[in-house]
Amino acid sequence: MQSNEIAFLSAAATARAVRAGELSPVDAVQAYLDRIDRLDSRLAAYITVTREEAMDAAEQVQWRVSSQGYAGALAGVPMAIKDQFWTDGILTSNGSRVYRDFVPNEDATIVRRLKNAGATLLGKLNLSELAMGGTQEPPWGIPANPWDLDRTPGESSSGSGVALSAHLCAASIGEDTGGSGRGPAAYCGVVGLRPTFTRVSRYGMTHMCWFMDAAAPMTKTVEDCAIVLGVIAGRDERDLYTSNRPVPDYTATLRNGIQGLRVGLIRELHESPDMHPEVRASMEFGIDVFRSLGAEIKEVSIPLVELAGAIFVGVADTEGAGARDEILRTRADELDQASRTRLLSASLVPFKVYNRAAKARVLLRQQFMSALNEVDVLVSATSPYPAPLHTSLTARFESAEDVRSRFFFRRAYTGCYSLTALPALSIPGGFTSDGLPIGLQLGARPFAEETLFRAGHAYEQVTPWHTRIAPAAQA
Amino acid sequence: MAERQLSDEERVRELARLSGIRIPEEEVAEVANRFGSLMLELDRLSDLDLSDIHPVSVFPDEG
Repeated sequence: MQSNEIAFLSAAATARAVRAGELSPVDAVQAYLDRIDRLDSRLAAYITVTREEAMDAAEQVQWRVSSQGYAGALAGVPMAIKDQFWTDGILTSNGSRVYRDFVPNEDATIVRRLKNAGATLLGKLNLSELAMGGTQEPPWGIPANPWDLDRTPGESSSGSGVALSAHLCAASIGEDTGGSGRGPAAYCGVVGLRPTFTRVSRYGMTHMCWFMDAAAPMTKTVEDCAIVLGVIAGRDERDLYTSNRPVPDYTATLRNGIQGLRVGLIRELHESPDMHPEVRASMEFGIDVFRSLGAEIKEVSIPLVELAGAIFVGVADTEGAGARDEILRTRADELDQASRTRLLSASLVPFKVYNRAAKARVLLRQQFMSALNEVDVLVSATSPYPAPLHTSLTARFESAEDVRSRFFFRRAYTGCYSLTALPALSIPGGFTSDGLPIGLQLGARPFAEETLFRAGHAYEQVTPWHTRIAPAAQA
Repeated sequence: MAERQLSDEERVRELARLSGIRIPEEEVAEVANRFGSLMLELDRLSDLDLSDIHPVSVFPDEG
């Protein structure tokens, strides 16, 4: 296999080739390292590249495959992890100067499970500070969207979106509190999953909002996402909130089709007057695709979803400010200005206001569960518009209306699933006329990830979006 | 005499003082914008009937 072909393989294809002895894990790692060397100086996807560790791990996998017939699900797959998860002996910066010297002495559970499945770790990926978003001066560089370098790749798992889109890793784990995994997936034209809240261990994750943070598989294809979730999901005694439910083989039903699946378009998100017209058109195209594949289409109403952005910020930012209280009091000057003002403003929210938002979250969950009694899968855009320019994200807020339009509106689309602890999958759902990716989001009942993968895979197989290559990845 | 309405910036300064949090003077305006906007948005929840709802952190393991 040619070196320049390796990095464009899916994770599934890479693992199959490694297990079949057709691809050396060492060659796979080297192919990605070469691309990182060539492209990452202008993309800023990586904070740390773990060259030696990756090569050592690849040699071990090579030996196990050739001498023991090793068949790990991710055998020889070069992966990269958001720098929010602990890695033994490797800097875990959380994208913040506050953590610039933090080197954990153990791996997060998800990292350990990936390694056990044969993955090789290429390095740690850039993120907005403390996994929040809006960082004005990221200490490890401004991640650039491979589809248009002047645009954001999304936040906060920016590096994961960039690295996948530019083929600088075969698969990644981001983190998704309010859309931090699905948002970058949508803006970068890749796949991102927020699993059911208790499905994946969070041990070894630096938290933003403890009861909404989720490890988020981010991949090039839906099949890859199903494989990665299967590896990292399941009970972990070090995270007592992980579910005891058995982990299914998520790939087993992937190709079963969606004949008769009940698919519901969320009216309030789809009809928002502020939605970009090409995003709306892509969602309508997507609905037509699902119908043509045999799904039963209907429209559903979730009235409170319009306020999900405000509810999310009211709960998550306030929790985040509480969790960062010591930093705010003692090391606030080390924070980026945007992080500092966001946390400071959230730290002033009165308890009765927080409590109302927390109750509204429960009501929103009730409305989602009611809708999911009518349909199997909910559909909406992942974001109401494509990737904005960097400058529009980092500009200071000038007025309360400015905050509303730039801060709350988009968060309703992904924040609604975070608030309700439901699984949601973002898949490539089209492109704007100027070549920017559009994300299509699917949501389902708790633990119905198999249904999401089945619907997402069916859509992916009859659409070309996931096969396009970003301009900056072609260099 | 009618009580004077506090501006967002004055309110932010007062809440920060009560909370023992220091806000750099040059950032008070932006914190006030964010805080004012957040409170305005969350005020939209005031019309909801939440009387029978209890806030929970983690939902039951259902599926």
